[in-house]
Amino acid sequence: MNSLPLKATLSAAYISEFHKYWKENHENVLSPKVNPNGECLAIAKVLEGVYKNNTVKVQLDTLDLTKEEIANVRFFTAIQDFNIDVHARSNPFEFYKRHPDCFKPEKVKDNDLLVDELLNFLGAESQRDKRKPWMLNSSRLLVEKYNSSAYEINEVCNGDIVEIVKALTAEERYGFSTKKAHMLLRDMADLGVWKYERNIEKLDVMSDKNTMRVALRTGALQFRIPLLASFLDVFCYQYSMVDRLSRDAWRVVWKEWDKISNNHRPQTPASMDYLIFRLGKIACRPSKRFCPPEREVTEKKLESLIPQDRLIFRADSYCIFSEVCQLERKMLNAPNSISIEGRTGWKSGKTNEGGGGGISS
Amino acid sequence: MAERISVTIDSKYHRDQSDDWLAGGKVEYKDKGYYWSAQNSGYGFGWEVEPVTEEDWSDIPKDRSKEIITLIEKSIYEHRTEYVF
Repeated sequence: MNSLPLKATLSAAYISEFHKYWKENHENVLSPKVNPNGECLAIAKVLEGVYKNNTVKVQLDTLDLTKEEIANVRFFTAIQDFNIDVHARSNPFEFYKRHPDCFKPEKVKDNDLLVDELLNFLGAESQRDKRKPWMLNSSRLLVEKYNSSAYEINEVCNGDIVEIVKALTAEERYGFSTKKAHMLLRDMADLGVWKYERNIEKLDVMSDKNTMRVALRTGALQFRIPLLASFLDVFCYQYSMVDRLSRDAWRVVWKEWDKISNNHRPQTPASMDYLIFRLGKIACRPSKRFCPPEREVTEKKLESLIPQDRLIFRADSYCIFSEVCQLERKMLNAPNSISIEGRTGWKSGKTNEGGGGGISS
Repeated sequence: MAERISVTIDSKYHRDQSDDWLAGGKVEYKDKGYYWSAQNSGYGFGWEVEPVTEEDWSDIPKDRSKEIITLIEKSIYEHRTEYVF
């Protein structure tokens, strides 16, 4: 009996018709809308209420270091900021005070031992084959193009966010992905080290489950149906679209914010992300939220939060976005991700009408 | 924590499309299995571990559940696949 010549009929680029359909039509099926009814301005008004009397920024203790010192410390630690918690063991800015040479590009560029010293301090034991060359190459970059000072990158690039990101990510060997570069730029803005002049709106609130969930529940980003994970989305079209549109939605919030007179809008969209991330993590959990008709946050819980996190709640102990989020959206969730790379054992295909479930690990 | 807790990391990987990291696995606590998933957005906020689903974890006291989540975070950072505490 002849076997079917299946392999011969399939090209290397063959993909299931199901997945072709989903690739071409996922946007039509999900029908996304950013700011359909002025939700972004409503969100901006709430944020203005918080920012007009408070400074909200990423929580890094830079001690009494100069802007130049802060820039070099964050430049090198940002590169290493994956798969480890660079702030867990102790404060890198404090480490700088004891070991300044580990952050001096002209000394680091040819000195493996200084690199090891910093990596040991950070607890970066894994992937040293990447981590070390990144440190050495990025040191050389600073020496050759920026007078050995990360602080000067902004000046050389004329305060242009796109140019800075391009400079850092031009070559993979410096260790900066676009996202890492954005993180560095956000921190430099939040810490008052860099001030940008051009393409400021391009520094995004990066997407994660929290920022996406808050975008969905506030209505800044809306879809026709709740977002369920499916094996049909094995190439992450849904997730990638929600990622992109969530960043767009928060950018619109930032732009709308400027319509408020005498506003206290932060320097970049990314500077909103700390508050939004923490709000998602603390006040707007997947299946628990502190807004009517549910209960307000308890005094005990409030007391356990750092002062900046308490800004997530109004005086009546409900979430600041309580009036923005409509009841029917309060249970929405960010999509789970299915990746062809993942081999996590799927446990359940169930969810509730809020979505966010589906096949999950 | 007196009870035996075992954390298994089934999967941990970098997702190129979003430049983030995902992980997922199981916890055994008091002879019962609980699932979790985690995301590190790569934006300076570290790993965030979530119960799958929160309802499935509702029989674990809140304080203990927080401790278990912290153990899972620690396990992910330590780059091992199985832990017994």
